[in-house]
Amino acid sequence: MPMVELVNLRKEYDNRLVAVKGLNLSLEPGDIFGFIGPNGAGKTTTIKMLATLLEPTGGVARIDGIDVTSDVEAVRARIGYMPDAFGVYDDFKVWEYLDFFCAAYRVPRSDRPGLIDMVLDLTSLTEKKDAFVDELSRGMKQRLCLAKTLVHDPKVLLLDEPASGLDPRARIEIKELLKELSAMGKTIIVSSHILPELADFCTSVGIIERGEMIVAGPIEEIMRSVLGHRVLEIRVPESDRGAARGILEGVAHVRGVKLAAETFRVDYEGTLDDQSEVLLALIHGGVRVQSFAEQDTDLEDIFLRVTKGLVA
Amino acid sequence: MRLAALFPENPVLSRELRTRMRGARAPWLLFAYVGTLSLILFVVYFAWARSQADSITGGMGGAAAASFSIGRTFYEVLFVIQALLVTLITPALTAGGISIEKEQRTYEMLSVSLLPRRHVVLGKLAAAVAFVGLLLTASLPLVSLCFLLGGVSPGEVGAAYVALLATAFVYGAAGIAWSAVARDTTAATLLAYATVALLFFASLPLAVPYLPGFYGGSAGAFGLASLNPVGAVLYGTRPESYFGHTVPGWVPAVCVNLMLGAALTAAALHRLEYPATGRAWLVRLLTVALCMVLVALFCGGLHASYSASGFRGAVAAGSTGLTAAARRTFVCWLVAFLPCLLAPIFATGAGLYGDAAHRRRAGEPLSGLAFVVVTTGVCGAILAALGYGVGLRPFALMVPFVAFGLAGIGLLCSAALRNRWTALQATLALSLGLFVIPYSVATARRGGENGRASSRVALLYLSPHPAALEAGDPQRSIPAVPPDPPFAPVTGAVYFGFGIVTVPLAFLVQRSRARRDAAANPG
Repeated sequence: MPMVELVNLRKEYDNRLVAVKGLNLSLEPGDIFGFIGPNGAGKTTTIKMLATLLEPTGGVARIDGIDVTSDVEAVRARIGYMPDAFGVYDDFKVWEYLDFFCAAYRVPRSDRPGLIDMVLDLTSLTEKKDAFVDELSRGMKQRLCLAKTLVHDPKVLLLDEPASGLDPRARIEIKELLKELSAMGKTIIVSSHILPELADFCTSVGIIERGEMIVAGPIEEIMRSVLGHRVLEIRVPESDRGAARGILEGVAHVRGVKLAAETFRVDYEGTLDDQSEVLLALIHGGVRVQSFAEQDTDLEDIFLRVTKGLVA
Repeated sequence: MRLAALFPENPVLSRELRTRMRGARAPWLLFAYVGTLSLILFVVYFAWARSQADSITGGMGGAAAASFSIGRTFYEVLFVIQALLVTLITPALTAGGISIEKEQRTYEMLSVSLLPRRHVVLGKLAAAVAFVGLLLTASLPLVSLCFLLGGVSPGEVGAAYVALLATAFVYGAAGIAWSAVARDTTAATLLAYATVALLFFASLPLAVPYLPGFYGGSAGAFGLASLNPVGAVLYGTRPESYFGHTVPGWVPAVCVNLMLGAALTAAALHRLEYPATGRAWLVRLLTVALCMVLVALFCGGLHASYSASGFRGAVAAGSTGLTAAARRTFVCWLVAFLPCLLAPIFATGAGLYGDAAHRRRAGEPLSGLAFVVVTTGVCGAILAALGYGVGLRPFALMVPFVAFGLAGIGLLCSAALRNRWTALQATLALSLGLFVIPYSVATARRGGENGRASSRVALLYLSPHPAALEAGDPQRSIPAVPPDPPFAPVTGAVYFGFGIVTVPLAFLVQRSRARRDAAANPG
């Protein structure tokens, strides 16, 4: 049974604005799903429907097999939700803030001290336990908010732009934390419009525009289906470049060879298994290969290709 | 079993209590509260001392009487000021309760937790009432001066404290209800203060007749003098008679306040609940219960004057009769006013059927029309059955027709404006206008005009107000207007006509709008 399942999910507002049009998605435990789309595309609306904050107009959304509209309390017990723009109670101490949410999630009083210490340790906030929330930096507040979403040990985390407004260091910390949570078996849905941020750690992504899921799946698969080929980056000494170009153009499945920034960029249409043939041909041809790599997944490129820059 | 196990944990209440007392604000507020009371008491004492300096004669007896007098004055001043302070402070404590959570963006996180919404609303409300309780408790040392000087009984002081707490509950509930409805704290605060002002000034006439000079200084019981906080502290222990049973004034007032507070709290809960569970009937049930209890209590208050000799006998009894007539007029006026208040609230919405959310929270405007007609009809029937006097039956029959007409106007506004709040405001303005303006225009004195001949007299039939005056006191002459034909049947027919015209018109407007929308958005 999938941990998160959307079947033709639809949301229409009273003013007839259709925010989400027939979304389909299925996620297993441990998946990290990146929700990509321009502002106003329907990411937040979808996450809010999963978080039981908005009622779907049509279709079905299930968390751990439970319909989000039929048993709201059971769904809420299984999800941890971190909104896009969130506030914290500034007049609370860090431990009081977490204790407040422990009480809100009906965690027994006797379990709370240990649990609070655990989530503070997980989010690296132990030394701030007795500090006022007001005194924390933005990154710390973000981690504290994540800590509070974990106090009831949810199976699914719904994180709406969790790293927005953070400095690079805080962003890396959040990413590492999400990887750790995924390793713990939690299913994570994370939305962002900062694409490289998602490419790093998401097991799959979905690109949404005007309420419609344009493409969804593992990044590799999307890359292949959208771009239709992969790009190999090969670096050779300047003296061997002439020979290398000749050899590369003769290898099967190579569509084109470009030299940019002292590196050959080869458009390759073959499979991953056939890819080694390119390297073998170069070495057999006596070319001294300095580096051979597949170009990093470029989500931005995919995004630009599949979206039209429209919002709902 | 431990005491804590009996009460479910409410983290919102704990948070409010903990953070409200944290920092310097709470001690400063307490200091300002007690300081204000002390200062006023100080001024009152010196004013009294100066006036009494030369007049205390007569040995021990005279001194004791003077002590009782200043003790009584201290009590009255202290509690009237506290009543006003509670009126001013309580809405401010709750009006931001929910809206601030939304503005600070903490509300969504609370919403997705397992915390029931009632814990949020009740926690905020209980914390505010508890803080008002703390302020009232802080005044105890000053109140103890009254006991030292004499002239006040402990029962009186206890009743005043209970009544003030009940007032804090109602005013706090008004704040929290608007906080749940309004988009921001500023709007919630303004609406909360407007509601509190309405409650305060609407209940003031109940307390005012006790004041010397009003209606010849007769202390005839209107009933529910303690519903107003000022009345509560002055007359909380004064006996009030309901259907021949005498109870201290604070008891029925506290009961009515608790019902009103419960209705407002239920409205706030209802507004916040997700998924909305369609309990509009609860709010309607509480409203109809409150209206019925209020009308029944006021009718019960008339019992003492009318039961022995009937209405005409009471009128013949001179000044008591005048007061009795005034009291019955007030009850009739209240019943006539009910449709003006209920129709805009329950018979308006975004279109005739409202949107989905509105239907679950407040019910359909269309069913609201039936609800308003039935509620006002029941209240009219109670008045006719218990109101002690002739001429009430036509008036009681008129009231549901007035409700039908005003609810029809509400439906028309809803269909035309298609916005709940605009429709509510427009209907409220029209209802109040119809209630007040025709009477004011027709009774305005103009030299040389014959009242009967004046065309302005016809205007009186547009308002339920003259009918209420006529039913309350048939012998009272409305300036320049003889009651022929009687107001109640004609006004009822006029409002029935309004309803007959506006309800079908509302359907026509709704249908034409729907057609226009369909043409504009064929998909």
